[in-house]
Order: sequence, then structure tokens, then C-alpha cells
Amino acid sequence: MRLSRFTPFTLSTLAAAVALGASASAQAVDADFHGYARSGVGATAGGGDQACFQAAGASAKYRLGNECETYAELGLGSTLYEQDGKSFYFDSLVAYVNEQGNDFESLDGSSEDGNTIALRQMNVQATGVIEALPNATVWAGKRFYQRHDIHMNDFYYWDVSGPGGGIENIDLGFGKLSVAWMRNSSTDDAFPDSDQNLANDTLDIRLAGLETNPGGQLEIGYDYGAANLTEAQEDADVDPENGHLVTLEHVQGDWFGGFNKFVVQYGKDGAIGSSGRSNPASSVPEGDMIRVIDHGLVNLSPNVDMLYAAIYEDRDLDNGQGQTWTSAGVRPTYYWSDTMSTAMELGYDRVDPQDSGQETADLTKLTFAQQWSAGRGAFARPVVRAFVTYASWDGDVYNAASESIEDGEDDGLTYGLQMEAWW
Amino acid sequence: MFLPRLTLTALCAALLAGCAASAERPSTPADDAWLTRADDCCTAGLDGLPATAVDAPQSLTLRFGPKTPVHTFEGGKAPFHVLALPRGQGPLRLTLTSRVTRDAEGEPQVFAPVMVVLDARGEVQRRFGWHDFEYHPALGFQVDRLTLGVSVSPGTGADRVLITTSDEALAARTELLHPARLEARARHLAEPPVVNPEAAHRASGEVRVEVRPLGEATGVLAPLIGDALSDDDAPSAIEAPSPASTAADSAAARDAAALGGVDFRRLIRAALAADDIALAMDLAERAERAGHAGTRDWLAKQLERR
Repeated sequence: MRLSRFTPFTLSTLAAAVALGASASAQAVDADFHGYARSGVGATAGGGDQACFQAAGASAKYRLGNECETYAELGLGSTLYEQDGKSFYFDSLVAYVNEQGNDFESLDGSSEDGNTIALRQMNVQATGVIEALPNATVWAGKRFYQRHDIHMNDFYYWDVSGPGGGIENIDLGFGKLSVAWMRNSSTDDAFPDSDQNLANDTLDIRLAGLETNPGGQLEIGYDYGAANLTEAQEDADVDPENGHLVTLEHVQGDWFGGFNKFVVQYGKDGAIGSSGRSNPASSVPEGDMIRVIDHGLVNLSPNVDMLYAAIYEDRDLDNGQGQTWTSAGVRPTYYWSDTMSTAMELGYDRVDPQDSGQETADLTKLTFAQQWSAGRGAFARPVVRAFVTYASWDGDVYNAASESIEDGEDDGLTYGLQMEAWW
Repeated sequence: MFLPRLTLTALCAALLAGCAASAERPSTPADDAWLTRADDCCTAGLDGLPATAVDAPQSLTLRFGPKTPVHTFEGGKAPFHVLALPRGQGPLRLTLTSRVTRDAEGEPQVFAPVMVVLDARGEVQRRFGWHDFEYHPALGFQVDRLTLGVSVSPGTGADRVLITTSDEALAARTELLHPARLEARARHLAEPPVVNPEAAHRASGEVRVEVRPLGEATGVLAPLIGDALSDDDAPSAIEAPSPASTAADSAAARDAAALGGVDFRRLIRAALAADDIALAMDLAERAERAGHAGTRDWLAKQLERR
């Protein structure tokens, strides 16, 4: 049996119509309810709430038993039109985050705790509407756009998501071409009015699905970021930086029951950063970034699988404030049954500042977790886990996420319960 | 300092792992050799197969294995269950679910069902092969599974249902959605071209059967339809409704009274959205009998647009 198009979770719109008191003549449609959520409770040995451990300067931290907040993404989508090979799919998603400290936590975003709500997706994807390109999708709106991440440490190394539009999956015969215009505004303090917006545009071009070897595919991407200046900004004689990011990613799909992704990225000036989104503010230093990533999943036996990741990132900046980030982690999991497993995650991060006068930061983190999940495998969710995490770091440069860890300490132990789900 | 903490961490993990010592193990036979050795229970043909009476609503789990009766069908030798459908309860919605499990080696496997509707003489009226079952990837606390939903109107033409498998089904495999792909789709990530696992088809396993009156089975429609879908005025076959019969005519007045306030077209749209054509057609018939002339033609146009 072959897989057909997967619809996450269908809600009868009749039920929705009844709930919303819609008129009897309302057109019935199906809604896909999709999303992500994590939440829990934890504590630090010695007292206090749960501390989370991340090396200073590192763009990510190994996440198992090391997440201190509640975060959720709740989305609703629906195919609003489908006929003669043409379809229009509407998608939306709202994200919520709070510090997981109380029952009643505001999401107004005005407090210093960062509890807030964000509209992250609102788009329409029209497929088959261009006769000459029946498999291509024309889209517009806010969107999570072809995001690439490492699940183990929640590191999004290629993610230009935001408001935008474009066309994707143009079948060239040897690969699929996607072109998008994305926007991520920022501010630039160099202008006379320091808070005015800087309209940052990213042109994203991707060629994916290039067959390179049996079971292997290559994706090539180029992102060009630049600020779209107003006349006043032009006249202010401020010169925001452009940015360039080139990404090569090879994915091996038949990799010991899982997959392997090998990624090489080269970034320049305004595109230097973790995700590839441009930040062309004039205060951003010029420079180069080279990043090499290898990560994936392997099945070591029918009862054991393992996530793994290795990252090398060198940011060489003209102002001398660059750094080299090295990271490696493994998460082997033993499955006692289809619903119960024991996971171990060992992660190491090291950040060497470009300025030799600054101290190197490193952090080692080890977690054991007993898990109950809906199904077997590293990506089976929902999961409920009980965890114990130990971390050791260079004391002066630890990113304290909690007052439970005092200045000068060089290790910490936390424990707790957490759930994680996606659907 | 590091070692004591590490020791404590390992100790806690060991304690947690100890909780797992009672982990469940699969109970299905290691292979299907038992099927080869099994004797044919019934030589009188399909009409002589032993049947179990079911009611509506009712949920039951059918187990297939060495203790299950075996018969040599046209499609091969296979274990089977026959369910005698209840009369006098109107049209029914049968939902069959076969869940993917793991063998002792942790490899996925599934009982690939075949369902046959038999008439009162044991003749085959409708047949649903394993290809007709829809694959659903794991979602929430539901594992990967094959499902089939069928509307039947018990009567002479639909007296029993036979649930079994076949040589063709056993020779095939079901491709499962790799959890990494599932995560990518749920979280709007670039989907890795990881090879999907395949579940072996086995002659052993379980099939969950839900038998519900049609109105109840359609969930949100039930409170809107109420008793209107009683057996007295039900058409003989939901999928191919016949023109209004005398019996149906006699129920028209009650239809009109029970459904006078219901927007039939709204219900039909919902049924179409749920891909329940049988229900949509049944509702159209009832609308006509309740005095909503033209509903049948309107439905035909809706179907043409799909």
C-alpha cells in the first residue's frame, strides 16, 4: 500500500459551524488541526526551579531534559478549493510561550518574563494553478518556509520563515526549484530616528531533490538579504549590509533505518547568523561564516535508535568579535516496548571567541529520561518523560537561565517531568 | 564533584529503567506456519461458515491466530470471522481497524483484512480487499493503522459480513510513514527523503470492529437527525438508494415532522465533506420524501463538481 497525501487531523466543519453559530447555508469544509507543544515541571538539585544549560555564545542547547518553558504552536488549515487538479490550501498558526511558573500566566507580552503570543503563519498555497507547472505551488503570506533543523538541539540552521511569497516545487525534471521573497524587519540605530524599521528582504532560491547516489539527494540554496530603504533612509547616508548565504545539503534517505544530513553553509556579512535570515543593519559587522553540520537518525537495532549531531561553525568578523562554535551530541534510546523507552542524551558545546583575550566557553550535558510515548522511535509523539540532567561548564561564561544556579558554580543537576507533542 | 553527580544521575536512570522490566511483549505467533497446518473448518461453502451475532451499537475485537477457524476461500486459505448483522436497527456503519504492531524483533507487522458482505444465501454481494483499506499514520496516541468504513443496510441482500485475509494480501506489505516525515509535516520542516518502513502482512493479528447505527456513526449529525433514520423507512441499500417505496412513502409524514426544521442541504454538504456519499444520498432521499423537491438533483450536481 502506497502512501497518499497525509491529512493531519480533520475536524468536521459542520461541528465548527454549529459551535460558531454559522448560518445554515455555510459551505462545509474540513479543517486540519496541527501543531506542536511542550510543557512540564522541573527543579534544580539544591533548590529552586529548573535551570537550563546552554554554553555562552552557542546558538543552541541539547534539549532533552533541558527545556524550561512552555511552548506551543496551534494551527488550523483547510483545503478551501480543490477541483481539476487545482487546489487552494489555507494555513494558520499561533505560537504561545510562557515561563512555566504558574497556573495563570498572561500572554500579553508586556511583562519582562517574555510570556507572549505570536502569529507565525497565515498563508494560502495554490497548487496547480499555473497550467504549464501543474505540480508547482504559488503561495503568499506568513509561513514556516521549508525549514531545516536539528531536532536534538532545536537548532534551525536554514529558516527564513516570515511574511513572504513565491513559487515552489517547479519540476525541472532533475530537481525541484523554489523561489521566494521573504521579509524580516528590524531596526537600525544608525539612522537619525533610531527606532525606524528596516525592511529586510531575503531572496531565497532552492534547487532540491537532485539525485546524487542511490537513496541520496542534494539540495542547493542561495539566500540574498538586503534592506529595502526608504528615501529618508537613503538620504541618511547609512549603508546597511547586504548578506549572502549559500547552503549545500546532502540527505541520505536509506541510512541504517533513518537518515543522514550533511550540510555546508557559507555566509557573508548580513546573512551571518544561525538561521539565514538577513540582518543588514549597519551595526552588523562584515565578515564570513562557514558552517558544517552532520546530523541524523540511525536504528542500531530493532530496539535501539540514536539521534546524533555534529556542528562546526566559524564566524570570522572584521570587528574581531567572531567565534568558533563546536558542538556534538548523541541521543541513543532503548525501546522496552512500543510505548516505553529509556533515552540518554550526551551533548558538548564549545565556543572559542575570535578575540584571544576572551575566555573559551564549554559545556557538557548528560540526561537520562524514562519515556512513555505513542509509538516507537525517536520521533514518536506525544511523549511524557521523567528526566534527570547533569551539566558541567566553565563557570564564568555559563548562560544562567535560572537563579537556581549561583554565580561561580560550574555544574548543576536538574530533574523533572515533561511532555512533548506534535500532530 | 563530577563523579558523585554522575553516579546519582546513572542511579536515577537505573531506577527509572527498572520500571520498564515488565514491558509488554507481542503475543502473536512468530510466523504464519500455523496457517499451513490448519484444517479447513467448513466444507459447506460460505453459507455454512459459523457466524457471530452482533448488535448495534457494539464494539468488538476479532482475533486472528491458531485458534481462529480457517477456510480455503477463492483467495486462499485464511482465518476468518463472520458477523451476522442485526435486523430491525436500520442502516449501519461498520468501521474496521487493523493496527500495526511489532514482532519480537521489533519489526512492524499488520493483519491486512479483507471484508466481504454476504447475502442471506451466502452469496458475495460486495468485497473490500486490503487495498480498499485506508492507511492512517500514527497520530496522537493512535498507532499506524488500516481502516475501512462501510455503510450497510442489513437485510436479505446484506445478511453477514466475512472478515478474513487472502494470499494476495499476505504477499504484500504496507508502507508506513516514517516518524521523521510525520514530524516534518506537523512542524512544517523540510521533509527528509528517509525510506519509509514497511509492515509485513500477517495472518495473525486483531481487527477492531465498530458497529453503529448510521445516524449515530456520523457523530455530529446524530443530534440533528434524531430518530429519522429508523429502520422502517431505510432504503434497502444506502449506496444505491432505490426510488421511494411504499413503505418509505408511508413514513414521509413522519420524516417531514422529524426533519421539518433541518436544513438538508447543509447536512448533505457535511456528509460530502466527510466523504460519506452513502449518507449524502440517503439524506437526499429523505429530503425528497420530506417535501424538499429537487434535493436529489441538487446532490447530483454537487457530486459532478467533486
